[in-house]
Amino acid sequence: MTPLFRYTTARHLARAKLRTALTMVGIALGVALYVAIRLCNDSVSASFRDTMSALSGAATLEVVGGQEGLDEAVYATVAETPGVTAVAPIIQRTVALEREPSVSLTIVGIDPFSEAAFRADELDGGPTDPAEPFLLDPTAVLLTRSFAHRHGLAVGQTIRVVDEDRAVTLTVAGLLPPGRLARAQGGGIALMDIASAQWTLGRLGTLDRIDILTDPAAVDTVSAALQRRLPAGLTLQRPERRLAHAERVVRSFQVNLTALSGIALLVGLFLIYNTMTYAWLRRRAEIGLLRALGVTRRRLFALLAAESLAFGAVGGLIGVPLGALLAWAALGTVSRTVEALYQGAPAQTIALTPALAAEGLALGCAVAVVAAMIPIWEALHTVPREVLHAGWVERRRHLHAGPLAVAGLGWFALAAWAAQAGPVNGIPLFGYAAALFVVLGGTCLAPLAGLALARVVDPLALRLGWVEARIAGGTLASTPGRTAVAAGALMTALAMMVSVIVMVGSFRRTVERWIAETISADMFVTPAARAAVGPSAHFPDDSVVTVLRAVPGVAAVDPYRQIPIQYSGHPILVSARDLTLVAQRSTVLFERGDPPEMLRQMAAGAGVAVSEVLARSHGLRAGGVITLPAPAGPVTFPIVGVFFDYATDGGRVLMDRSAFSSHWKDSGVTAAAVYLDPGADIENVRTAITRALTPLHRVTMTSNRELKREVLEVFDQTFAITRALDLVALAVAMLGVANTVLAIVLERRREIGVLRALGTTRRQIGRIVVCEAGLIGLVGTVLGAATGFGVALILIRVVNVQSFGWTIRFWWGPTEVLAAAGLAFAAALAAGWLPARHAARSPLVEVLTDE
Amino acid sequence: MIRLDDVGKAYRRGSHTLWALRGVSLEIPAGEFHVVVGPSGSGKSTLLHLMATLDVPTEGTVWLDGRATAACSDETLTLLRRDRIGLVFQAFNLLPYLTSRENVALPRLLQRLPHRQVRREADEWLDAVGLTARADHWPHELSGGEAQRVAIARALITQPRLLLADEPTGNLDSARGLEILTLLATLAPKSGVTTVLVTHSADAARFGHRTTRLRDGRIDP
Repeated sequence: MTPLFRYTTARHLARAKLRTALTMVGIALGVALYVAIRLCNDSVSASFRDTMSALSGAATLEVVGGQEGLDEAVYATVAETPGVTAVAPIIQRTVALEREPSVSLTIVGIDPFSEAAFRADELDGGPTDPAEPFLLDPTAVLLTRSFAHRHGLAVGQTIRVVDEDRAVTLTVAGLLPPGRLARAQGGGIALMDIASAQWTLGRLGTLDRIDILTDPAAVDTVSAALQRRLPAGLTLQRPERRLAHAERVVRSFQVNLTALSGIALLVGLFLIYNTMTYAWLRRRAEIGLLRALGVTRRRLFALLAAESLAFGAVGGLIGVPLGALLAWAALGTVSRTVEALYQGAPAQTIALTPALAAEGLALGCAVAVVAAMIPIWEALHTVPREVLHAGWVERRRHLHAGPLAVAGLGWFALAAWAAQAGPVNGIPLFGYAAALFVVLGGTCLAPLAGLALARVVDPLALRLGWVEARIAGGTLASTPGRTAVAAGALMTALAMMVSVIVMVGSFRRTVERWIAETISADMFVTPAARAAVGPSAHFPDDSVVTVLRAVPGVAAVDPYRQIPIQYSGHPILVSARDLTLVAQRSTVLFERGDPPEMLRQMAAGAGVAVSEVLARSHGLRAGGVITLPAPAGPVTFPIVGVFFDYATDGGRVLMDRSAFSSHWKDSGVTAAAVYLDPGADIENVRTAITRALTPLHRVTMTSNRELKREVLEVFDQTFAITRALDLVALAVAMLGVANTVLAIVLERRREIGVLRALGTTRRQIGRIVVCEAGLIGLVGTVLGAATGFGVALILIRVVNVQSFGWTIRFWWGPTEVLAAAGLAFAAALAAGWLPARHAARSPLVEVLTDE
Repeated sequence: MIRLDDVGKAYRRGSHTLWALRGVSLEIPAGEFHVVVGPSGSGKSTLLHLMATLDVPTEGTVWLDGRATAACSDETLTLLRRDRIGLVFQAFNLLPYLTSRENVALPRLLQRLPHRQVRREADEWLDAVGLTARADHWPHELSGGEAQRVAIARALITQPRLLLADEPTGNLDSARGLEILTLLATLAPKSGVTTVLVTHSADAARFGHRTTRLRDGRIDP
C-alpha cells in the first residue's frame, strides 16, 4: 500500500463506512450470483460426465440398439471383428422403487468376466468368483453405499422395484466399493450379472449396449470394419458422443441462467460507477489539490484504479463463498429442472475450484475497474482549477442529457440490427447483445427522463403545496447525472424482471392454450415406473390397451408411443398415435391447414408431421420429406404439416401408429389416452381399470386435470430459479438507489442544514429525501418497465427462437408487470429510508459552519 | 424579546475543552436593532447560533419570548425557527434549484400556506428588496448583492419576531455591503422585527441602536 493510498483512499473508505459497505455488498451479490450459477451448471455437467464416463469406463466404441435393444448374437460379431481387443455386453434399465415411486434406480447388467478391461477400478475386489451369490442368485444386485444408506437397505435384504409396469424383487448381494461408478447417477446404480438382468428384467436374448475396447489409434479403422459387419438399425459411436448430446441439450438452459446472472453483475456495474463518481465528486477538491501539488495523472490514475480494485477485491472475496452457499441452496432446484426437462442425472455436489474462485474474484475486480473508468477519466482530464469548482461535473452532465438521449436511440437501432442476426454455434449471442443494447439505450434516456420528470413535478408540487416534492424535484433537475446512474441501475433490474415476467408469462399462456387444446383424453394410464424413469418408461406391448378398451365406461383408447431416435446427429422423438381417433376427439395444433383433415390424411398413410422446432432447426417444411432411421433402414416420409409442440426442445415427428408399427416393429405403449363414455364417472372407471390391470400391470392413472396441472407445475419449477435471480438483481439495484441517495444527502449536508435552520422539521427533511429516492425510483420504474417490454420482445422473438425454436404468443402481463413495477418503486422508496434518517440527524451547527 | 443569562458554550477538542463563549449575559428588547461586533474567533457566530436555537448552551440560559431554549424539544425549536426567527447567512445559502421567488417563498411553503398566497407575498418581498425583475432568475444568475437581498426577503417573509444576520456583508464588496446594511436598517424597523446583526466590521455599529463587543468569548465591557 503506497503512502498516498494509505493517506487518502484508505482513510476515505474507512470514513464512508456505510457507502463503502453498500457498494461492496452490491458487488458481492453480483459475483455471488455468477459463481452460484456457474457452480450449479458445472455440477449438472459434472454429474452428466461422471455418469457417462463411469458407465462407459474405458470403452473406445459402443454399439447401441434401438428402443428394444439389440440381439445378443451381435456380441459375437463384434468380438470377432479384427482390431477389437475387448468386448463387454451391457443391459441398462432404469426402474422405480415400489415404495418410493419417484426414486429411480439404474440397473446395469454386466458380465463380470469381461469387465476387467473396462471398469476395473470400480469393480476392484468385485465379484468374479463363480461361487459368489451375485452370480448364482438371478435377483442379486450390488448397490452403492450411498443409495443403501439413503433407503435403509443392508446386504441380504430384498428390495421391490417396478420395471415399466411389472414389480420385480431384487436381493442386495453386496455394496459397491467407492469409486466413479458408485458416484454415477447420484449413487442410484445397481450392478447385476448380465444373465440375471436378462432373466429378471425380461430381456432374454437382448442387450442394450456393447462396449468395445480398441487400440486408441485404430478406432477409425475398427469402426469402419464394424460398420460393415453390423446389422442395420444399430448405432456405432464413440461414448463421448452421448455426453456431447447430453451437454448440448442442457446448454441452452445453462446459457440462459448464466445470462441472467450476468444481469446482476450489470446492475453491480452501475453501482460501482455511481460510487466512484461520488468518491471523486466528494473529493474533487482533494483531487484538484493533489494535481496542484504535482501528483501526475498516471499516479492519480493508479490511486483511483487501486481504490476501485479494492472495492472489487473485497466484493469478490465476499461474493465467492456467498456464491457457493447460494449454489448449495439452488442446486436442488436446478438439478430437478434438468432432471425433469432432460432426464439428466441428479447433481449432488458443489465443487468450488480454485479456478472458479479466482474467476469470481477477477470478475468482481474487472467489473469494479471497468465501471470506474469513466469517473476516473473525468477526474484525470479536468483542469485542477475546474475540479475545485463545485457542481462542474453536474453542469457538464446536464448539458449531456440531450446527446445521451440521442445515443440511447442509437443503442436501440443497434439492438434492432443485432436482433436480425443469426445464432453463433447455436447460441443466440446477438440476441443477448440486442437485449443488452436495449438496456443500454434505456439507461442513456435516464438523465433526460429525470429532467422531464422534474419539469412535471416542479409546478405540480408547488400548486399542490408539496414543498418536499418541489425540493426533491429540484435536486433531481440539478443533479441529473448522478440520479440517472441510480435510476439506470433500478431500470436495469426492473427491465430484467419485466422481461422475464412477460417472457415466462407469454410462454406459460402459450403452453396453457396448447395443453388445453391438445390434451383432451379424460385419463392417461402409464407404467408405474414413469414417475422415476421418465418418458422412456412404457408398456412392452399393447395388451394393456386391449384390457382398457374392455373396461366399462371406456369409449376409446389412444395407444400413444414415443421413442427417441437420432436424426442428422441430433436426438429427436418419434411419436405414434391413433390419428383417426385424435382427429375425432382431440387435435394437433398445426402452423397452417385444417387439423382434422391433415390428421385423417396422415392416418391414411399420406405422411408424417414435424414439430416447428424440428422444422426450424433442419429447414423442413410441409410438402417436403423427412428420412428417419428405422430399424430396417432409412425410411422417407412426406411431411404433411408442421405442428406446435412445447413438450420438447429437441424436435418431434408425429405419425400414425400403423405406420410406426410397420416400420419400427414396436408394439409398446408409452401412455394410453383413455376417452370415457359420456356420463361415465371417472372414479368408477379408475376403480374398474385398477381391478382389470392388477396384478399383471403396475400403472399410474392421471386424470386430464391432473396431467395439465403437472405440466404447468414442471413449467413453473423450471422458471423458479429465474425469478429468484430477478429478485437478487433488484436487491443489488436497491443498494444502488440507497447508495445514490445517501451520497446525495452527504453532498448536500450544508443545504439540508440550511433547510433545517429555516425551520424544516426532521420529518420534512426525511420526506424530502424519501421523495428524492421516489423520483429516482419513478424514472427507473417507468424506463425499466418500457425497456423490459423491449427486452421481452427480443427474448421471445430472437433468443427463444434461436435457442429452442418455439413460437410464443406475446402477452403483456399487465397485473404482474404492475406488481413488479410497484415492487421496484417500493424498493426505491425503502432505499431512501436510511439516507433520510441520516439526513434528519445531521448536526446543524457543524453542517452550517462547515464552509 | 431575547435574554441570555450567564451563557457559555464549550466544545470538546480531544482531551481538553474549548470555551467559545463564557459568562455572556445580554438582553435585547423587542424592536431593537442590535449589533454584535468582534474579531474572528471572538464567539459572535456561536452567540448567534445559540440565539437562533441552532445550538444549546453548555451553561446558562437563553430565553426567547420568555421560554428557555434548552428546555424545548427539537420539534418546538424547529417550529420556533420557522415561525418566529429569520436567518441571513454570510454565504446567502439560497437553494440552487429554486428561483429567486421560490427561494423567498420557501419558509411560507414549509408552513403549508396556499401557493397563490405565498407567491403574492414572495413577490411583495422581492419588490421590497428591489428585485422584482429578478423573480424568475436562478441563484447562479444573481450577483452577490442580489443573492443576499433574496436571502433577506426569505428571512422576512414569515414576519419573524427575531431577525438574525450572521456576517451578511462578509462575501460582498464594500459598496454592496453598505447597500445590504442599509436595506436591513430600513426594512427591520418597518416590520417591527428585533434584529441582531453579527459582524466583524466596527463600521456596522452605526446602523444599530446598541452594540455589544465580544472578545475571546466574553463581552468586552
